[in-house]
Amino acid sequence: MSESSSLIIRGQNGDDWESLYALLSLNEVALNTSELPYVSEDAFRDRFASPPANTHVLIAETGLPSGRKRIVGAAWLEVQARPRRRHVARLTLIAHPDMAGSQEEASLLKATLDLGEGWLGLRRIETLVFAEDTRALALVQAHGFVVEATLRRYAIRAGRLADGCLLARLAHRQGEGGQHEQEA
Amino acid sequence: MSKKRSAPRPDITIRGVEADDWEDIAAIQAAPEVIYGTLQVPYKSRDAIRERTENQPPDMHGLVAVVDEQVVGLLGLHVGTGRRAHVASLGMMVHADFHGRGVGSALMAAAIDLAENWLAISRIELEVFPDNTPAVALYEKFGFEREGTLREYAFRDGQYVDSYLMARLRPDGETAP
Repeated sequence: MSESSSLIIRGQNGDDWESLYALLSLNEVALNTSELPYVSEDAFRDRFASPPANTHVLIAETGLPSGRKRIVGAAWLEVQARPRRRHVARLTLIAHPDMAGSQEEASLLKATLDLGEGWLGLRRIETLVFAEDTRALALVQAHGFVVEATLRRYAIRAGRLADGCLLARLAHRQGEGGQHEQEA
Repeated sequence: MSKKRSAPRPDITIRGVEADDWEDIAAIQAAPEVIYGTLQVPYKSRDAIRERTENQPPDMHGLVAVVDEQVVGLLGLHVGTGRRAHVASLGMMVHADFHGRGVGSALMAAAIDLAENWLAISRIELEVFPDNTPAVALYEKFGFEREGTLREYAFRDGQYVDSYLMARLRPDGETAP
């Protein structure tokens, strides 16, 4: 757990999936993921309430003046199942529009990277961001992610086939200056 | 420049994978060259291969190449869902004794026909190791373009190695599914 002002970052519990459902029902949030709208609560709960063992979930919540808590963001690290890819995880991060671009969002990302690299020993964390989602691109690039590929016609976004950028952060290459090196 | 073959092109039949193909598939997967060029692991349980062949995941279309009643090549086309329903990811392997003999090309032609003419796929994507020159050449021959290099993508023979991400877009232009 880490705390910054009133922000708490913690693991996923019990009813959190209901708040995640509300978050992903926001058009601006779903737009930049691969999620669909109008998903039934039952179907959503089946997918999100009990993540599989290889999927690590971080929840970001803030405190309201009343003392109640509000989930403002979440991150998923899906460690790849194939045996020769176990050093890799796929990152997905969502944030309430109020939190987008904020220090809180950056804190959630930092906590996720710490979990992945500091505790799970991952060498590679990859993420897929729509090419038009310049804000998310800026966020992850500010945290060591490098664009490796542009996937043409990646997925449907706002009624059109949209390109996606695949970015990755390599744990063993942080602290190097500038561009990544080619593998020998 | 045409590809020099190591032997005349055999008579190749392409059909859908069947449960009974599992033994031939296990033989393909056991070869060190095939393990090296894919994400297979050695010492794989034959029971696991049998089970996997018999229980193909949903949205997976399996094609095999048959020569003289033996399955010598296998290709899987995994179709996406929801906002990615127009996308298929492709993986293939050819028996080590049959490399360079047209089996890969036969499988690719069939897979592209299936995907683009019947499944309304407008993007086929795959990963391939950069030093797998014949495979890269095969994919380029079928209109796949390199979209990028994924660093430390997989573990192979004691090292973390990069992979190309390649994709083919259906040539009729952008269409929503």
